[in-house]
Amino acid sequence: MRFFPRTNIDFIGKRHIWYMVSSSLILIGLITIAIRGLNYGIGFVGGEELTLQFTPALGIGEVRSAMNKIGQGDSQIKTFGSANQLLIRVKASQSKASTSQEIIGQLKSSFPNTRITLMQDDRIGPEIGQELRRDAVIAIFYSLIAILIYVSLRFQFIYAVGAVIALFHDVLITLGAVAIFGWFVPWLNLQIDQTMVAAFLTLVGYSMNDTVVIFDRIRENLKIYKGENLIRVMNRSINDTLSRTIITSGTAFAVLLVLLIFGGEVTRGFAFAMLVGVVTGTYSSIYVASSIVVDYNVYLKKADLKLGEKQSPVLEIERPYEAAAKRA
Amino acid sequence: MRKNRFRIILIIAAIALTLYYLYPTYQSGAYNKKLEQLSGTPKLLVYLKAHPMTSMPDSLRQEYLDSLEQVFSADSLRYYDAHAKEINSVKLKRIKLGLDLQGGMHIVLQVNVVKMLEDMAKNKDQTFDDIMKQVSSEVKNNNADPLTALEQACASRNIRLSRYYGDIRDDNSQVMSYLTEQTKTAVDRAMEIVRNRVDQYGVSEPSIQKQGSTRFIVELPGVSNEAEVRELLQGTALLEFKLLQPENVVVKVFQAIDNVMAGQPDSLASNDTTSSSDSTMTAAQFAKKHPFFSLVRVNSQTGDAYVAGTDKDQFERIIERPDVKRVIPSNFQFLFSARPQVTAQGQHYYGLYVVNKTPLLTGSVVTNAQAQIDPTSNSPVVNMTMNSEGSREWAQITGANIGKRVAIELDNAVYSAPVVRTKISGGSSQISGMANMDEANLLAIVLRAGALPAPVDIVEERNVGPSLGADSIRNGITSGVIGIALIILFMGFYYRTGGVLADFALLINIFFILGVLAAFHGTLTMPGIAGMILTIAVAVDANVLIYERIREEMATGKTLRASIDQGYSKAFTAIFDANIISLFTGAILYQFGTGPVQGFALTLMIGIVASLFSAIVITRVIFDIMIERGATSINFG
Repeated sequence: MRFFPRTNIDFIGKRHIWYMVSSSLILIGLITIAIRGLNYGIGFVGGEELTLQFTPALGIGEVRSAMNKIGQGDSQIKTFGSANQLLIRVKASQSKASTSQEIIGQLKSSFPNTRITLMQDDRIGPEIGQELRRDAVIAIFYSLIAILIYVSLRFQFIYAVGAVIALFHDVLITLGAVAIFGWFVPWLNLQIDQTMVAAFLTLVGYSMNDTVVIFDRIRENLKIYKGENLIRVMNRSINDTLSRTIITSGTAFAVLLVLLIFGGEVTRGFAFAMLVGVVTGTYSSIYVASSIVVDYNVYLKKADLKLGEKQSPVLEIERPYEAAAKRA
Repeated sequence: MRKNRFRIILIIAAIALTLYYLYPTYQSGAYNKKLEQLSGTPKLLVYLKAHPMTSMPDSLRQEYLDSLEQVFSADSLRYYDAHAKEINSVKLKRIKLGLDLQGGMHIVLQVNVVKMLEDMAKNKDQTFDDIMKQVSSEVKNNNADPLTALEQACASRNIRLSRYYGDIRDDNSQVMSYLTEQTKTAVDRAMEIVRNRVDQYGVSEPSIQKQGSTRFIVELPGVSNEAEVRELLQGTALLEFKLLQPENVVVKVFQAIDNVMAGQPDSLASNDTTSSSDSTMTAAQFAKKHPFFSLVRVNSQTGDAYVAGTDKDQFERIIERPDVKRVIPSNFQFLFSARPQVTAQGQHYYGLYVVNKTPLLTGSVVTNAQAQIDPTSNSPVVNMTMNSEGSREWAQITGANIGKRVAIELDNAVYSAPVVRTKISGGSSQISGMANMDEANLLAIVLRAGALPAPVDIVEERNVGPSLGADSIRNGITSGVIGIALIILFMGFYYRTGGVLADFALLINIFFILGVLAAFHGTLTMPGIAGMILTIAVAVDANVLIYERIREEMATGKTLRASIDQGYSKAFTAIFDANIISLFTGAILYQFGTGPVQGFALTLMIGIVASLFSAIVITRVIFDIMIERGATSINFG
């Protein structure tokens, strides 16, 4: 069975349209971030956050008015997972002592008929947040450098540049998606925390994986068809690997979707970011990483990659058995 | 077959190793299940159904329930006592669950260096207060190093550091190196105090790790009482000197306890005196006849008593028994050594010290303690000095107790019990008999713990309730099973025979990941489970790459064997390059992440290596065998 029998799609020819699409998506994301800001988890900004389970469930309003009595009415309160679980983010307080005990005590006395269970309580000092933020940026930066060096060694420098630009593209689009979905779909509870940073590094790895597979085929085909038009070779290579690209992305996508639906609150942000990352990572391997290599040759090296009048944009290879079939 | 022999041996060895490393995890689970069955809770529930306590007032109810549960738990305790060694040894080797899965507290403590500098200074004046204000704002706002900030603040006012610290004749660099040293030992001291208390608190498998220069991480699985833990970690340390009870009295009390225990109705049989002499008794017979002495081993030459680490709980319960309590004098206190002695077989034995409850002196009189090498005997010693008030008392105490032993106790654990040789006047004592310099350093740290409490702040606290952990495990398993099932169905459907083989490799791969995790003493976290699910999704990529190639090669009309050869070798460079990069990012993530994220990075890295092995080596060997057996076509869909 084959989903994609030998295709001859002119991917590279349409690259300029896709440049526009990518740029607009990134722009929309950046504008959203500029307007709404990013929702950082307390790990990165410091503060206290607790998750409580109420049996039977209580309304957010009821809880807020009870917390008002101890001056915590302006805390951020939202449902977490199921309706009877509430996540309360307390405004960062100066005092060293934890406010969670005080809040739980107040809620217990306000709602004597409700069983209140502490699910989770995180309290993080501002100095830690600062360091974690710095470490996250350093980690992403280092992995980009490592990729730049490795790809330069195994391929050519311009391929590495294409790959890293593609990674920036993926990270920016995913960040934008996190901001937009965090705004319009609040129940996803998307926030930038350590797990989200792990998702970004993983999607960098995944996207790179996909790019390298296509580059590997380009490298191989360039060796076989020396002197052939680069665009034709690239299109051939992308078409050759298309079936694999779709299957691998498809299985990863399916599994991440399962994780998003069944994985619970803890991994939801991770699954969401990876889900977006798998789509953009697959797309950027073709339309960003490979296209940049082509445009570098067109504009900077002034290579003549114009196709001849009767030339197909995709290099056609006649397979021996097809030739035999034709002759017959 | 011959060319594959090496690979087959490799595969079998890998599977055998995995089984070997996973077995303790399986065993530990089996023990837990057994203990759970025997524990009081299920029996209590059955009992309550038959005897509903409707008439009992709520105030008494909880207490009554607790006591009932204790009664019903007797079986489980007995089982635990009998198998303590095995249970604890498999526990160390199993795959640990992260705090996010089993619940517990993760706390990061930071020694407050500014506060410590304030406490240490002498001749404090208005200028000093101003300097300290400047230092603390520098540290808070600009993340400056407290010592450097102090040096700069003093320099800008033209004040020498020696005005407040060290000897007045010291120059700035001497004072700075002294303060740097003090900061370092303050962290060690705080860690030692916390480690000691956590051990006393009785948390199973706590972990205490240094992080950077002024921080350390404390992980307490299964603990959720925040207030109690905060008190445990931040309360002031209590250092006391206590007199050991005379040996002959102690041995008599031990014998009395032994008699009480042996005289229990359920061990009446051992009371007949016709049985063979002690020297020919088997261990079981001895245990029956002398239940206490089988637990507490007394060295007949030195009189020192030892209890195995796994028997400590049982010991604590025995001395709390009302009938046993009756034979123990009221001023007796039982203390264990802080550090166990480890036998050649790897068993841990704690020294048992019987001391007088009333302390001779508290550690607040100690002004300094230093570990040194004694030039005359060339062995490590600790020199301890006391303030004038302490010196006076110490002279009296030592004068009255020459030849007796004094236990140095920090928060209920004994660090050393030296013998008083002479009356010590002048407040300067020397403690000898340490086996090595490390031991001497530790004792010095402990002695100083009473002198200067290291002020620690909690800078990070994460508390996961047990129900959230259970939810996470359930969610992880559900999504893992569904995700894997989807992939297995798809691969089998799309690549037919090849797909089924890839599925087989995938299942072995999951098994490998868990095995390697156990071998590395890794911790499974929720992000780790997510990482594993993701790895599995991406693991099929190697097989997809190979199979797509094989299909291409077959389409050019090559033979099955040639197609498979070409498919594997041509796909290899792509697989290799792609996975190396994923390994890079995994390693970087491991370096910069903390806690659960590190768990994720670890499973990701293990997963990449394991999946390459199973996708490339295992499937290849099976194809080769199939061809050798005469297969001329294999269905790749």
